[in-house]
Amino acid sequence: MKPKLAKITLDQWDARYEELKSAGLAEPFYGGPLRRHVLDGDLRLADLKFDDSPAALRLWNFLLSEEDRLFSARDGGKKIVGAMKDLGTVPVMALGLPNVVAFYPDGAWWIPCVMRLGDELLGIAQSMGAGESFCPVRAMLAAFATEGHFPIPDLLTCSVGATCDDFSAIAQRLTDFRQSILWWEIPARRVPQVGEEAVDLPGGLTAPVSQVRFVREELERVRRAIEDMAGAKLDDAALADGIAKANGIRRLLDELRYKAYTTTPCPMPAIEMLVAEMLAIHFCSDRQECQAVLEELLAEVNRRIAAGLGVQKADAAGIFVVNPPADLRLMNLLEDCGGRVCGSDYMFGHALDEIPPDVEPMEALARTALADPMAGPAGQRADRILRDAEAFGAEAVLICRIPGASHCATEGAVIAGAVEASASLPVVEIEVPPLIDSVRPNIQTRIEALVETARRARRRRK
Amino acid sequence: MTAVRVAYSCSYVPPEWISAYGLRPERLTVDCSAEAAAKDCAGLARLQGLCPYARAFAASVIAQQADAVIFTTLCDQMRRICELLPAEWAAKTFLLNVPRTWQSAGAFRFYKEELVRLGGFLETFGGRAPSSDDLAALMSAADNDRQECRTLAAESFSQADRSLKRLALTGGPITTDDSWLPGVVRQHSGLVVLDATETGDLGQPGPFDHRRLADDPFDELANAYFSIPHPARRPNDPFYAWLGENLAARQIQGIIIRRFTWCDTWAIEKNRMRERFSMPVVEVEACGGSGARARTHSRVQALMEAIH
Ligand code: SF4
Ligand code: SF4
Repeated sequence: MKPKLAKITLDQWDARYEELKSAGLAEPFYGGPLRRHVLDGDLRLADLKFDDSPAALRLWNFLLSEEDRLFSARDGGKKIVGAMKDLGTVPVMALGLPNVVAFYPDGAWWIPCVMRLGDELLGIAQSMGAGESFCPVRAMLAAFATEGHFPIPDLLTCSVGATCDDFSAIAQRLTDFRQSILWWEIPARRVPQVGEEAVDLPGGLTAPVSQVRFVREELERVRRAIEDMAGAKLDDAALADGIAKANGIRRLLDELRYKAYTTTPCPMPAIEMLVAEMLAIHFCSDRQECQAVLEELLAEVNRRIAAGLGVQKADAAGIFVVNPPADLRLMNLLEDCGGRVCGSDYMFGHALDEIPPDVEPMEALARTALADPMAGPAGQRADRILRDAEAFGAEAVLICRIPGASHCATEGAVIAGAVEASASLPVVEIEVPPLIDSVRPNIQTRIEALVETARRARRRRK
Repeated sequence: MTAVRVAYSCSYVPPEWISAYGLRPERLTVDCSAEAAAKDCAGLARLQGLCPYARAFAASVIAQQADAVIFTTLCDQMRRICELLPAEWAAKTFLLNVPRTWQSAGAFRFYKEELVRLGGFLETFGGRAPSSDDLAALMSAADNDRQECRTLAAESFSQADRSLKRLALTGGPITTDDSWLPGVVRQHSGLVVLDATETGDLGQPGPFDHRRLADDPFDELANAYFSIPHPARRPNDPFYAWLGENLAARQIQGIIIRRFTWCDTWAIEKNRMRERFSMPVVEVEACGGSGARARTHSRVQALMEAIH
């Protein structure tokens, strides 16, 4: 039996980094030891276990340096678009113009976890009227107010319509301190009625043509706003170029996910895969470098698969994870309990699916936007989860409940019901706060029970 | 023959449109007690993090045996409950897409298309598409009723005891659980002279334009309802414009916001109102049970003390 690859702590990364440097590790401009992020306040890193490869080091450094890269983009004269909520559409448009960089302020969702609540963002948000009835995205409100986490964008857009009330309310509050917002609408996706003209969307969905047309008109408003800000024409050729680049990232992620989630033993830890998936939306602040990061990670996965190496034992229970856990440490815990990730739905499946390359660019983007899993019925999201869980060979489903998230009140029940009824997979829904430490024993017990149930079912199948 | 009863809660559902199809629109007065929710809607009662109003609305639909129910997308929780209700009760449900944005011609057109789609739904259980004249007649009658209410409200405002402190009540819909609230306000020498809740003046369309009503009643109906300034619209400046005007017109001295737990739409507005209007603002918990009532008493008292 091949030895299991070790996951290492931050302390161990210090030594590992020195070792790699002495062996001639070449790094991009944002490279360096992981430790420096802790010194900058990302305290949670000290509690995590990481993959020990140079590819993983580059992945983390890329993720954690977005703020610096955005500030240098601004210093270099680029215009910055802050795209809120659509998770996968507006930044693709921005890719079409060389003097524009886009990013998602939504990424502040993770700051309470990553900074181990150290930046008081939740307290500041509370003082601004966004208390515990809101999900961790309220940290974004405080991040705008304190201006310490990302540059204030030249253009700020926010998709509303079939959006959670949490985000819509927080974004409205942003307008009180000089942020004007271009609001655009993605309506609640519905099933076409009998006889109604319909169109296929990415992800195996369909929608009425009238809904796609409406979203397309809305995106035209966004296009004009980007053009006005950039002082340049964002024509269809430029958009098509942006789509092709975005699809390059999506294809890479598709291959990476497939290999990491279906190969036994599991070739890449859950936490690095979560970070890699997040690049499906956060790639936009530096698309070229993101591509290189993902290519290196994929090469590492390929190398391990060829060598039969993995980070978990071969009998690890395959868990499909629904929703991003508010604390990254949950991904470590899942593996400590004997699980591995076999598939995921982190709420942005439409940012992983290829944008239709064979239709007009604005039409393609409208279809992609409308395919947002959160914009449609929870039953459709559950269908996709069932399909993907089967494709990835998952043996159980873990639904991460997000504290305060308006959709979590109902969605977990719909998804759990569908999984139990159709796939006979064990499923558990667990609330994951931004720091799990105080509830860790309870969460651990429940994940262990899930893993054990999955393993028992596997034994019965044999 | 009894008319088919079509239940709804959201202000963006025009009751005239349902009546015009020969059906009976019922904006339900919701019973918010936990017991009612548990009895009538056990599946929803188990869900954590659900807005008590959204849950109680679903329970009331069942308890009151409505024939059909219309939900809207104005709130995430209601949109999602529409999906769950059929598992609890064999209702005919319809989800009306209400655009959050209002500044583009496309958003208005989309709302009109949704009303047409609603008409199609009503036809599936006996509704009949109205003629323009019939719709116009119904709209005129409803407009007159609303005008009468406005006149009565203005009269009662002009006759109100000037020694009482004048308050606005705003926030989510009024329920059966709220009948005690005016008494509490009175007890502390106050009087609610502006009902800016979703079920009060805030949720009413403005007067119809009679020329446009004659020309194209459907368009005028859609325009009047589309223009309701709910705080969930983006941006919600029209809500503040409407509220500011009415606060001034009724010489309001303080604001009470009723908020249902987990309702983010209203939660975010408390600080915003405080920053915009130079008067005290308190938030009280709607449908929160006896503990919430005690807290409401002390908050209303504090509000009165803060009014000079
Ligand atoms: S986690 Fe859920 S509630 Fe929070 S912003 Fe994302 S979609 Fe909205
Ligand atoms: S009170 Fe708020 S959360 Fe509840 S149904 Fe109304 S808008 Fe939605």
